[in-house]
Amino acid sequence: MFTTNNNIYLYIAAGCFAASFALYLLKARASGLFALIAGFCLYSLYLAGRAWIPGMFLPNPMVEGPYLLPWCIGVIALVMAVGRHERWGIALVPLLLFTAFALVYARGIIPPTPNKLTPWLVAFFVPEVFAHACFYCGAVFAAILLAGRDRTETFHKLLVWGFVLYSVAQVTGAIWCFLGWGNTFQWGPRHMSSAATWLIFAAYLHLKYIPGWNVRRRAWFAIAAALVVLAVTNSSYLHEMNFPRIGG
Amino acid sequence: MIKKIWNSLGDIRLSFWLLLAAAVLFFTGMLHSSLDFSYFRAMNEMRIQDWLARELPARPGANWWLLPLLAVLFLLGVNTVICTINRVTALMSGRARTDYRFIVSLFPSAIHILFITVMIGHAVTITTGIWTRVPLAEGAAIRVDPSLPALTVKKIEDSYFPHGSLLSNRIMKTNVSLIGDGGEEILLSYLDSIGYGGYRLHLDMVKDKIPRHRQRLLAQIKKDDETCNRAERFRSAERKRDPSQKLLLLAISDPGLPVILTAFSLILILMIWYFIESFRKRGDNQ
Repeated sequence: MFTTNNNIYLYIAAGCFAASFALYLLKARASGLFALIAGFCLYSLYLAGRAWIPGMFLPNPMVEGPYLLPWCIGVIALVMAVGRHERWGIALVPLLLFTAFALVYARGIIPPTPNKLTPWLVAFFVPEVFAHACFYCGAVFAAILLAGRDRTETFHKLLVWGFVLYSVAQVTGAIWCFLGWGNTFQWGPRHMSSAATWLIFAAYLHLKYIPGWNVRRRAWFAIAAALVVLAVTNSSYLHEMNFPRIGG
Repeated sequence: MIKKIWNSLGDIRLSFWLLLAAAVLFFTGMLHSSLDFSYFRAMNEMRIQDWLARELPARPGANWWLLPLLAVLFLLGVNTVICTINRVTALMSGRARTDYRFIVSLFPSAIHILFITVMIGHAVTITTGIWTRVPLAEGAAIRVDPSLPALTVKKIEDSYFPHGSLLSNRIMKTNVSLIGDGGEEILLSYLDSIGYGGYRLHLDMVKDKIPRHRQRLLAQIKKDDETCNRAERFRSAERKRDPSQKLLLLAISDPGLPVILTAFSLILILMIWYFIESFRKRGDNQ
């Protein structure tokens, strides 16, 4: 069931997410939440199906950034909805955008080398992609605040937890890198962009204690930082689209 | 005068700009390393002072960002130490020192001290680490360090993904058996390193990189092979190692590693604890 035609789950999940957003805008919040849950379950099935693309279970394709990101944003939207956050539907905006990206992204899997067959890979990618999801959702909530539609500092909370998760990824990534490549940090594009991203959000955390950086200025900073993450990660994803792939 | 310098160096605005400057320099490094990946890959197995002494004069255009980056990180370290001292001094001169909230309020300072520790760990790694690569072949005698006895490669065994999977012609695991001069056996595989004579022994595989224009040419030839050269297709089915895939032993001495991992793990624990307390406190106040 999973090895063939599992792409259908992705297409239906995308439809559910779009329906959820439309219902949210039409103030049918309960129906919107139901559509979100349905979409999330189908998307989870799609991710599970990706693990069987090679004809055996392999978790690597499940945690590939472009595919895991919408799932992580879905979790954030669900947590907000269940926690009765008034504007949970705003998280559906990045969810729709990144699901659209997943729809057009390369379906196959990048064949893994032996040093990618480890639970440390999952322990690295899951918190890293969750952190990206927090940064993107944070940027959207920051934009809503700047537009005068939100008075809470939801974006700050998202950025703080994004930073914590990103730090977790730095530790698990360092362990994985040492076991697989013999260094905790490498002078390569992947590690240097991660270090830069971590420093940017560390700088953001300090803004709260600097006079003159009011909530609006910090919101602008959150949007700019998320755009940097978007540019860096997507250039990497687009590059990986050209890697030799199998299946899918 | 000294107080003025102290206050300037410990200013949180300086922290902010130093963090951003370091981020910009890392992005610069990212751009340079993505343009010349294999050149910068060599840097991972060299001490930074050796790299700078050799490569900065040879290729200043590719390496100019390294010295400003190291300078900014050093200043960030100084700034963090001063900020932490100032904050802890202010906290200690204030309220009761046994209160739980007081202990939690010390966490940011502890996180900053641990951050300095991580930076020191990295500094130790990049200035004192040793990385040695030795090609492996069955029956060969290898030496990871002149002061250590030679090891003999007894056996190299590749195992492949299961038959029937799309990955069946790819290596899943490689087991290497090394024999020491006392007859003791050392077993190695990917992701499963072993301590030996003060080194960590890892397995690594490199693949000869082919320039892009040649890749296109080879792809064209391969495409032709798929239609007329069946032998090439069967070569994969036999599940034999690709000649361009070379197995190496990587011997590493990294004194900074335990410092980095311990300090970063403690940062995580304290950070999660602090933010949970901080959001809970805010919730109570609201």
